[in-house]
Amino acid sequence: MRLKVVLLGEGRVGKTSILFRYIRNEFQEKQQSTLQASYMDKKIKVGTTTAQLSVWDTAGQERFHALGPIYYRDADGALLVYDITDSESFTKVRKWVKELRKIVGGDINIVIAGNKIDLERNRQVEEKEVLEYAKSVGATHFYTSAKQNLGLEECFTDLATKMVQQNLTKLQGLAGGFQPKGGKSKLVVVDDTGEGKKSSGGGGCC
Amino acid sequence: MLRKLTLGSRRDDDYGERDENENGVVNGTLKPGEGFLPDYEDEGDAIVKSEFLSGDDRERSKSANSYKGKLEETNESNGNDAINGSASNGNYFHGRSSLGDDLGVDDDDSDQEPDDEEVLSDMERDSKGNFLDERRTTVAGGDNTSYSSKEVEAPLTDKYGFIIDPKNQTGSSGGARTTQVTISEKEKARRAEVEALRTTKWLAMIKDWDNIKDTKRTRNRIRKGVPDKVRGLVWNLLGNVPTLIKENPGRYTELCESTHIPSQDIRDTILRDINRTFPRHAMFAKEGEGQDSLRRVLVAYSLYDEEVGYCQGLGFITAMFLTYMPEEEAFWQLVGIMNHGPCCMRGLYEDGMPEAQKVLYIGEKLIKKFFPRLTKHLGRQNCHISMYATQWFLTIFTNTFPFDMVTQVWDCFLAEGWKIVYRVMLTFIRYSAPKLFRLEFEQIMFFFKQLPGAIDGPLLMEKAFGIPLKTRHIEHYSKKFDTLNPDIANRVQIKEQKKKEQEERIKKEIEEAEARGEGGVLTTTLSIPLAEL
Repeated sequence: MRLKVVLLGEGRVGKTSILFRYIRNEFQEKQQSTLQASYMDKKIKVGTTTAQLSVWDTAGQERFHALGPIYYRDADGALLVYDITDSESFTKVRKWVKELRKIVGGDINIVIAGNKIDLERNRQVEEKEVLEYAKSVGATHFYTSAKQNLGLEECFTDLATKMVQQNLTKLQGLAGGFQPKGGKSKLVVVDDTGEGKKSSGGGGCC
Repeated sequence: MLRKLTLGSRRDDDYGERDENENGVVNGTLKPGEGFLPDYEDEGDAIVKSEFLSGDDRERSKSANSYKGKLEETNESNGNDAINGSASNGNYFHGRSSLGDDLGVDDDDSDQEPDDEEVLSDMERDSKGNFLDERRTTVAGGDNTSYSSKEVEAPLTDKYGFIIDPKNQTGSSGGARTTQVTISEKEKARRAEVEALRTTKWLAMIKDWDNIKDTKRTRNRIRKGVPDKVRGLVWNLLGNVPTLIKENPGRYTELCESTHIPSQDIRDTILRDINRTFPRHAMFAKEGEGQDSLRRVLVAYSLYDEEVGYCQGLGFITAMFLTYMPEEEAFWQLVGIMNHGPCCMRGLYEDGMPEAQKVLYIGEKLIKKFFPRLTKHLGRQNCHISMYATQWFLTIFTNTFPFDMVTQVWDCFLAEGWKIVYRVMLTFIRYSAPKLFRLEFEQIMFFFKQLPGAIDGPLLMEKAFGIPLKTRHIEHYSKKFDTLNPDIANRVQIKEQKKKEQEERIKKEIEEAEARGEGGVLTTTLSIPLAEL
């Protein structure tokens, strides 16, 4: 099963670093700005299902979307990244949720990552605000640090689990729903308005 | 318009007397098989040899200058600076070394006739004379080394200012760094010798620039690469920078000191990019003068051209300029490449990035034209040009490729415009094709990610001029794009037309109002914001 994930968020929040750490276990202290969507993949096991995560990293500046809405148009999941030391970057997460709902619809699974948790002492984004917001839009929230390799496995596993379940449900839809063995979370259903949420996937997990 | 030159004397026989058709130029395009080949093309062996040489990293480190050393050299040369014009900021990396030393070098006949290069009927099958370092393009996973920056007073750098860190010479992330290709000491020495000879020639050419700038000989020499010591100055001349500064005295300072500031969004985007632009270059690795200059130039440009403001990508180009020239020159060089021919880059960065869409289209069609079978393979793998070439075009290769290639591309780009960009792109594809045929999507993506680390710049450039690309090919696809996308093609005219119509309407209304004796209408009419257009 092939699952497409797109990494989105304000510039400098650490999208590229998260990707390199998660997929290749590399970390570059000095990472350049990303100018074009770039691709990496990784096999991941969810219960008995082996899925291939195809992850697209994107440029942070909004202007670049003119060149590549294709990267998130048919995505199964989105990892929206913000930097806990940069309140502006969280505002961008809200914009992205709206944009994704508009372009992709309610089906896309969203996980929000508060990156750079190693810089907790410089935190600018209130935890309460974030958790409430994540819950309200049916997203899971994780704290991560690409630098110290914290929270990334959990973050991607959660996203993958949701995507696998969604896909299996779709495939087995005729049989009236299917629960894969070993699946931990329940199916996340997100409605278009982003208001009510019908599953238990949301909330903080930190 | 020329800055004062005090060193050396021009050799009258150095240029201008030879047959300008020596390289087979016909109407600005290359005849197939008559490429502009660098001097050392004659030494055919050198190319082949240099591909398979064994490396010696110790030698590489030994031959590198320290950044501190560079700065000292810079300061010393201020006194009798040959090419220091209106420079007020002495922070740039190149171009201020003592040029006099090179004047004693005897001129030779290095502008030899190029060898006839046979055009290969099937370029896709050809990988002869590959400039790729095979060891750097292996697709199997890379190293897992971690890297943490160290506080070093004066890091070792290569000649372009990129920091040499033996622990961090490989890896596929992080961006531009010093070249990862190993070149033999013999080849290095040969290249240095050629560079010294060229410097002598260029010093003489610069003094007589107005007379020789449009000659084919000059163009050929540009194609062979402008020597690094005079590069900043030559780039300024090619970009008409002295004229721009003369026509806009004090404008840059005004913009820097302006109380008018760019929008929050633009300012934020600039600031987010400053320490992510060439973080492995000695000038930009840490907070300090280099980063400050970069920020000032980018902010000034965002005020100069509010419609573009700032777009990611501009930072890399500006930073590269700053390594070769003072801040004010770098600003005007940027203004030049954005707004004037032959580069005209601003459409790449405008909202909607219309020209970026266009060059990607042209690039895609050119690849299809020259490599139809490979195009099919890439198509089957769902591998679209925007996935690998976007940043090549947006920064003209500046953000990831080694500077021995980047600067030479820019020599030519500043003089002739976009053709060289497509040439280089086609060269990558040509020599990668045999590999690409065997790869699937994931591996193709990884291949392109690793490509910059495998490039030997001078060798690549030499191959690029052997690509039988013609200006009319580019024009053909350019027109086709315009036909398919009339809104993008005519956006400037549409915008201007609307503006003109509105201005005329306002003028008419004012006239009518005045005829009726109602002066007060003026203010209400003008309150329609032009920006809404």
